Amino acid sequence: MGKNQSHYDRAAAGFFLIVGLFFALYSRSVEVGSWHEPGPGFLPFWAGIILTAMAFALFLVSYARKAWTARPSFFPQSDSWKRVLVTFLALIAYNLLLPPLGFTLTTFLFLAFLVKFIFPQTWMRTLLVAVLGAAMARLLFINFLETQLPKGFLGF
Amino acid sequence: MKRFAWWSLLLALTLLPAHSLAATDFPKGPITYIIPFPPGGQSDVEARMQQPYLEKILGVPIVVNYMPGAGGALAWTKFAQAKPDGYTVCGINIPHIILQPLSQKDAAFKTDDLKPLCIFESTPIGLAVKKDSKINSLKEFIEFAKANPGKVTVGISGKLSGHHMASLQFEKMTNTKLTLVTFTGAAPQVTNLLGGHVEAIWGNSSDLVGYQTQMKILSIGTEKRMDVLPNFPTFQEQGLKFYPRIDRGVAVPKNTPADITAKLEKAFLETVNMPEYHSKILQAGFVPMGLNSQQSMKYIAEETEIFKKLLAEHNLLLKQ
Amino acid sequence: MDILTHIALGAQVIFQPINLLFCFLGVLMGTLVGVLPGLGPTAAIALLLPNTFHVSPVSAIIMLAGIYYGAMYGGSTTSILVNIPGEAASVITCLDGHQMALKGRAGPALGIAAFGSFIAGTVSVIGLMIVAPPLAKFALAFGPPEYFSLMLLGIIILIYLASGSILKALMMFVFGLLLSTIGMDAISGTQRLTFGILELSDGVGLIPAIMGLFGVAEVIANVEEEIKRTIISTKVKNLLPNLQDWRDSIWPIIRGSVLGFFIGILPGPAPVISAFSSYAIEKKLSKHPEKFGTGVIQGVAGPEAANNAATGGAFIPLFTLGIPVNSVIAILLGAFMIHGIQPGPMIISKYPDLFWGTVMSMYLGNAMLLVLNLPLIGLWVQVLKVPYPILFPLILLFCLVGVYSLNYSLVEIALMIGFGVFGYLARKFQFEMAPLVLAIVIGPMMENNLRLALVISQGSPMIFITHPISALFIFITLFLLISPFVPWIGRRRQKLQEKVEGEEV
Repeated sequence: MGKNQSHYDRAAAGFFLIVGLFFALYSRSVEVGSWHEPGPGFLPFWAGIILTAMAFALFLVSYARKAWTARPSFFPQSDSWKRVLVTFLALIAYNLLLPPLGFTLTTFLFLAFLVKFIFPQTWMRTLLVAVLGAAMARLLFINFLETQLPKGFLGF
Repeated sequence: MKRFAWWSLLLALTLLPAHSLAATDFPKGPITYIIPFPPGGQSDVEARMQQPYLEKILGVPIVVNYMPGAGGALAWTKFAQAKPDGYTVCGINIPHIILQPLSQKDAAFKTDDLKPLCIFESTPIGLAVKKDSKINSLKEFIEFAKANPGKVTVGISGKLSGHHMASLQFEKMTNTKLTLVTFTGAAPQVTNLLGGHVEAIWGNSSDLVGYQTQMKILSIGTEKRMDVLPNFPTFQEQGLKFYPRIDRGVAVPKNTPADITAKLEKAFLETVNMPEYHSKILQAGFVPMGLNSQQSMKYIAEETEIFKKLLAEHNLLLKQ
Repeated sequence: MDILTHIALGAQVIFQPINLLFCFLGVLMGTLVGVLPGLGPTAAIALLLPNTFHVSPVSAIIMLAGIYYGAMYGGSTTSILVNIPGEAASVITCLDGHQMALKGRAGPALGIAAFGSFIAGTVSVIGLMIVAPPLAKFALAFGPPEYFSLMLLGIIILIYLASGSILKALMMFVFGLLLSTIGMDAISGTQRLTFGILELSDGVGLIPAIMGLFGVAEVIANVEEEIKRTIISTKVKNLLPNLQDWRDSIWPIIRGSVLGFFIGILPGPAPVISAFSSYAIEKKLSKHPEKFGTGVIQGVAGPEAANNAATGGAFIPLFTLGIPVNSVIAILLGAFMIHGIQPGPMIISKYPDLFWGTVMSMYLGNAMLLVLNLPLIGLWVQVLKVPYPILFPLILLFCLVGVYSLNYSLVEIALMIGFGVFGYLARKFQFEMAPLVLAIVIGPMMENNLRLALVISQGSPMIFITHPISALFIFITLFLLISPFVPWIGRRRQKLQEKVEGEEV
């Protein structure tokens, strides 16, 4: 059967409830101040309270609505989650590898990895895209625009 | 055999200069000039004006790099950890580099981490009121403020800035209490005065010069009257020994070798003493300075003591 | 004030070969920079600034100004093609522009964006010529209370933007407000939620947020399924807007231009606010508001015109008061000073050739941009033909480099990825992104002005009503809030709501 809209809404309401409370409580530690002299905690405090209240409202509204049509399942295909996760990990890896490996190499690896492993292409195509992509990016950003991208231990 | 010896000697002689003091080789490549603020600001403008002269004197390209963030703290923190080889210099602002380590928890640098090469410009701070204000002189301002404690709104361009300190010092000296309105920069500060939304501002001399026809300048923090503002009195001549100002200079990381420091210092001093540079600065409403490294360090030390006391009085001083 | 003599003076200035060259270089560079996500006009101007030292101030300003409005043109390209905003102001263009592209109408979308921007640019230049000084005076009357009330009105605009649940849209907005507080508080200097990371001192950053919410999240959502991106191939003759498109777009363009121009005068992120407002207004005025978000051309024409007009409006405070309203203009101001020109109220009278030369160069620049961009449309559309398995890594790469090149900060890349995760989940849970973006953009301004107003009024909230302009905004806000409940106005909103709920699955 799967979940329906109300379930999603309630989960979301829960998330925002926590967020709202977090900000409201945190803002106490940075001086809410007074109307006379609003401090750094002024807005976060009130906004946090408002968000918490709205989260409650959403929670209640989700019961009021009839549990109508079921929503499609969270992931459209059974292996969707793999691709989603892997892509995110690739992004994180890029961020981590950029300083040690340098821009050109990291870009090459990133492109090759994603082209090959998400919607698999042939090795020929993968290499072509990765090499061209990394080269053009390097030319564009480093040589032409002179942005300062990391050189990595290989020096390029 | 003899020939070999001769050639070796010759070779050794040619190699000898390469092993001599590093300073004669310095600089061998481009020097990076870091600006701790977004492009277009005053620090940027002055660096750009210095750039051509520096390039000629030092013989290498000067690359201007922007590292804005946290009111300058980002750049100064990173810069304090930079290699002290003379290939990176950084613009510094006083009192920022003094106040930030003293009162901001996250400012991960110490004033001493930055060894000043030169302080090349001073921006006196002045007090101005809106054009249609009923106040016409500093004396009237003080009287009004005394009669209405906390009611006079005075704009500053940021907490822990020269303006902020100036106001605190002023309040102490004149025994008044003002309401500080903290804007996010000099531009909103000026606009709000022009629009009449605050009574007065502690303004940079350059802004006062630019907008003098649209506001009433009560007083300026120089020792003598400024040539570009001949009709406006100083605090000193009105009885207050008060010289609020913001200064700009350039520094290297603290462990940079003395000879390299000296070379850079000389280049900067030569640049800022050029007559064209001087006149551009004066015209814009600033005061050109030429403090060398030693003088700058002494100046910073003196100001640090003053601010330490001021911050402590207002509970803004962090435990050191 | 003889307008014709001034135009003649300006024309004389711009038709000198060097100025023509610089104008062209500027708009070219600007377009390139605008197309690349992340990289903004600020970077380009800072880069080219040293090259302007050896030429006259007029030439320098002409080129630098060209970069500015060139970037606005370029920003819409990626928004339409791949749903990634070239810069903040193009976020709105993504909404309908990309939908049009998916329906095979990328050409007309790009075309109307180009034409709309041209018309808007022209309108704003005319405005600049005629009404500069009195408008500047008007802008000065805006103080903290006025700004806050204006922002409040903006929230109401937001309600009209929301195509789904208003409650959820408001929640995203408040969440965005909270996020916008992260960083060093401008007024007190206190660090809020920065956890000692200095890079966070200036807040979460708009660009990482947009790149993450729109770029990364979109791509991740797309990789879930095997490629089903059937882009209907477009025939050559469908590359330009047709007559019906023009009929639909002309009024949005005019409205957007005027709106953008006036908002541009006020300090702050004017192009973004103008684009959002224009979208909301067009939706409100449309006979089929429920179609917005599915690919209606009005949703592209209006906002694109608005954000371009805002760039023109931003020059007014620069030339009349010497005050920069955003960071790009601030650099131009710096360029003035480097060339020895003192900014201030006297600038037009002291340097007439500078002002009129720049004004005329804007006409020229806008025309050049049109000529540059139109033929490129055919080229851009080809980009869509690249198979998605190869395209998407490249898109991600652009996002990564775009964000990194801003401040060379790995923290910002991490933020973008974080926003990407959030954006992806938000899509799944049916929350909209636009309110969040708007909040991040205007949050700091709202907070600052609220606090400043309260400090000035010494604690009294009455200041918002005692100041006339502020009171006006509050009144309009309240009026719009109550209007759903007043029968004859409320009916439209209800119809929209019902239509949406019927389709909401």
